[in-house]
Amino acid sequence: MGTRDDEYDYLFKVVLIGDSGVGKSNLLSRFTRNEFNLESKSTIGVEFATRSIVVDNKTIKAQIWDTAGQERYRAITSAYYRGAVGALLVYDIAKHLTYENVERWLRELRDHADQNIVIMLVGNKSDLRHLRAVPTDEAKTFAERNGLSFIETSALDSTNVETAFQNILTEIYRIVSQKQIRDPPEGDVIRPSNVEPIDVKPTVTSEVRKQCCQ
Amino acid sequence: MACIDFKEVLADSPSFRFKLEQEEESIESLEQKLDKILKYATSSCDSGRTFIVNQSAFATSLWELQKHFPDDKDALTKIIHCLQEMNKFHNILLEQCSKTVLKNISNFIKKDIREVKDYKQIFMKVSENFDGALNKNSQVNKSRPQEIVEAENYVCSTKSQFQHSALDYVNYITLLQRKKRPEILSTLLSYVSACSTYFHQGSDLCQDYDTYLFKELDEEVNSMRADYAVLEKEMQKRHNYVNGYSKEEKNKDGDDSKGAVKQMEGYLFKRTSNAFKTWNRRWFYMKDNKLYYRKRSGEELPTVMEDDLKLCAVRPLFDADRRFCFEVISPTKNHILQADTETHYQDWIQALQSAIGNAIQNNSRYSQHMCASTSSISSSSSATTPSSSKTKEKRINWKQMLLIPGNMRCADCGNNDPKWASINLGITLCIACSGVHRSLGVHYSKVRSLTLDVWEPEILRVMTELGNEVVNKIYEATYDEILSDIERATENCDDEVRKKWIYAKYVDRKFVLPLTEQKTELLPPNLLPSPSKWSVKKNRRRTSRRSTHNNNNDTKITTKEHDNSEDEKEINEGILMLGDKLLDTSMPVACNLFSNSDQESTSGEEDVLDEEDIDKLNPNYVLYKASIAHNLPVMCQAMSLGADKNWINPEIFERTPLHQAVIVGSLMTCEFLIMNGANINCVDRRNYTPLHLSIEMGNTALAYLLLKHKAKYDIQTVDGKLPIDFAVQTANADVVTLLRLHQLNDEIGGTEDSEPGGDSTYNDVMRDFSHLANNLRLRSNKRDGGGSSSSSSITNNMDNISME
Repeated sequence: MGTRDDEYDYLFKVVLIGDSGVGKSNLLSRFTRNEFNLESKSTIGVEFATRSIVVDNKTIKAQIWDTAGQERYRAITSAYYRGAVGALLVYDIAKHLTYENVERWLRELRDHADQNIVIMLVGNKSDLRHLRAVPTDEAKTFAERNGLSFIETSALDSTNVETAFQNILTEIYRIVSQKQIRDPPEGDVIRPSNVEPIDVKPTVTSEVRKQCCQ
Repeated sequence: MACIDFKEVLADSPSFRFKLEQEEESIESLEQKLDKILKYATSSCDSGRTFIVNQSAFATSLWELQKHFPDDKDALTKIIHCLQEMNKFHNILLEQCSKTVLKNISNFIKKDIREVKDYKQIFMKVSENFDGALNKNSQVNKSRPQEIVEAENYVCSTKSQFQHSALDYVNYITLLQRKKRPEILSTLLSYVSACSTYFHQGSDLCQDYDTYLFKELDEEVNSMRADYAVLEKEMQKRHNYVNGYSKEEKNKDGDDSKGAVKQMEGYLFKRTSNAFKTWNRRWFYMKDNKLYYRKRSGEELPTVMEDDLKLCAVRPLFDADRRFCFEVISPTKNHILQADTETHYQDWIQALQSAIGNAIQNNSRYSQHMCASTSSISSSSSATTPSSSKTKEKRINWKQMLLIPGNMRCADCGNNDPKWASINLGITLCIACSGVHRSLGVHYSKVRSLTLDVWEPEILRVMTELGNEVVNKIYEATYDEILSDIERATENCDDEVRKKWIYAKYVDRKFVLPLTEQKTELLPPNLLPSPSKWSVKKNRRRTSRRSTHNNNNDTKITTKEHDNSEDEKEINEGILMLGDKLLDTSMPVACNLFSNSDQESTSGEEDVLDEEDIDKLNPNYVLYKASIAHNLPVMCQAMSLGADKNWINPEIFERTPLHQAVIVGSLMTCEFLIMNGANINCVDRRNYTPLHLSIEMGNTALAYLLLKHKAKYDIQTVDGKLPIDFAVQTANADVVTLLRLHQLNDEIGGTEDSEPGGDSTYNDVMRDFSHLANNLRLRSNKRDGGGSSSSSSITNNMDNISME
């Protein structure tokens, strides 16, 4: 696997949510492994994948939680949203019902996720032009009204998949890095007020810990 | 006008015709007017009916108001009745109207006027005939006398016909004109009198209600208004109270410092641990040595921020940008909180510090006064909530644990203040003996504090199954005060004596009765033939009530069907029933130690396992069989005899005791085996680990227990299956999530420290799962539908026993 991507500046947890069958798992596999599977099975519980991208010379590791859309395959909800800083709320542009249910998913986010979570509305399967049931403008207006960013993607032909993840991760990065300037990292040291804090981050995290008995 | 001159009629004079026309016009006009009246009367009736329908709906809808006026039910009822009565009267009026006005007038139009009009046709025809006859007569030639006679005759007859019908016609007209007066007037009169009745009835009704509605209720309403005015003023005054309240808050410091414990609850800002570091406002409070918080609304359960304040510290945080910040530090986490004002900030720090101080000082009493009056919170968290049930367990265990036979005194020296326990041996200890136990090493004894530590339900269960009496019967079976060269430890003995005693007892196991001797010892003396078989009973709480129900469930372990002559067989054939002697003193143990967390799926199985040949009687096999029977005392005995915890049964898939404990679904047995050093990753012939089996059986709680003990999840079975494959196969979302999270956590490399920009998601999620594990039985029942109804019957059994 060459160099392991253990080194990163930021780790962001992003959840993929939306109705069953809208293509969440394929969006994830397209982004992390550049794969697509027409006959993928329903996700049970949750699946994880990670990929690192670079923004402003910082390595951002995205830990993406691909959750089950189908109610009976979902584990306890709180697990999905704990610590998540971003959410891709996916619907199928060819199935209007999956778009109607976006409201329901938003409600679930408001109930369980951090209030600052960055939400991106993703209309997937944009390749199905002849079957389109949700007009782009309608979804765009809806997203604007609810303060979400919006994009249409196709995991099948790769359109916008990269952009979608790039955008949401960059947006999270901007928010988090701005916050870091405002709140210095916590610590025992009481610094003189005229000294700028220098944020030193551990370079290797996992290696060090493995040495200890568990 | 009615009378047209008789002569004129007979003469058919122009004046007659003129009058006739006049009369006809007048009748025509009358008909039009009457039609109009009819039309309006009809629509008036219809709109009246609509009005009544709506009015009655209005009255009915008032009924629904009753819920909101519990004190005014009587008044409401009366008002509604009154309205309904009025409606009834109105209805009668409308009926009258349609009966009289509509019916009579339309009758008059349809019958009387029509008659006149019809007769007009006849008259016209006769008149024409007469005219024709006259014409004919005039045209007759003088020279034809015959014709003249005929014509004259004809004229004569038509003339008389004409005169008669003319008279009739005039009669009809005259009569109609006469009739209309009484007919129409009487109709109108009857309507007006109906109206009068209506209003009279209304007036009577009002008089009936007069005293109540219009006097008493009116007075009541007035007094209500007065009350309202007073209240309104009071409410306005509350604004002053707000100002006073904040002043009070500032001043109260002095008074409060007297009370040792500060009762503190209120809003704080809390910084989230995720990358955003969002500040959320939450309601914080302390209860039972725990720090809780909850959202203002929309949250059923409070979140436990720290579940043991003893381990926490509080300190001000100066290097934050925000004011009034402080930190709550626990071994695993730091929480940053912010108060609203300087006073609040001081109060909270003080309250937390004193709560922590109290927790450390009164750790045995769980400082109940702390939770004395936590108002709304305690009421909202019902007994079913995971957090509160956990609290309950923790609070009861300390005293309940001493109720287990023998536990009132230290298992080793008899000291009457045992506050410690060895969880793998299932005994309570005094502090001195617990020190020696610690020195033995954790493979011999795992020491915990009864009062300071958190007790998992499965460990509590292990403790209840064993206890000092049972365990000492095993570990001190052959001890003889006089013959032995080892001195028994006593409450105030030398450290050296204590140490020697405990080493001899648990490390060298000097006083354990070997299995071969048990054979003879356990048998009744009159039974001469030595036993040829042996077996183990299911866990002891069930021995007192031998189940008689059919084993309709899948009896995976007990393969043979036994008939109910089993009891006799025991005596007749001399079956050595291991553990009987350990248990004969067993008394009901308070069962509320383990709320609903226990999931022993024993129901439907038989109480006694298949008996085995006596030549198979060896510690390893006894441990194996006892694990199947989840009989902890016998397991303990087998271990005291040096049983191999990882012994493999070559006859049954090369399974170990732990495999079997998983198969019978006993959390407690698994926990006991793991605590005593059973290999959690042992594999059977098909390379199944206990984790494989637990998932295959759909037992989420067991899977969680095994993963908690760091079971490996990447071992493949012979046919290449990972534990997760089973979970995916059975679509068990919880287990899938659990396994993948474990894997992810290992890949990232633990979460003990906070990652750069990372968070403690894993720990938080695991905590959610442990809460869930307490309620898992409910979930798995829901998923499986039938099958696991056993659990409830067990609870019933246990209830019964505790009542005996």
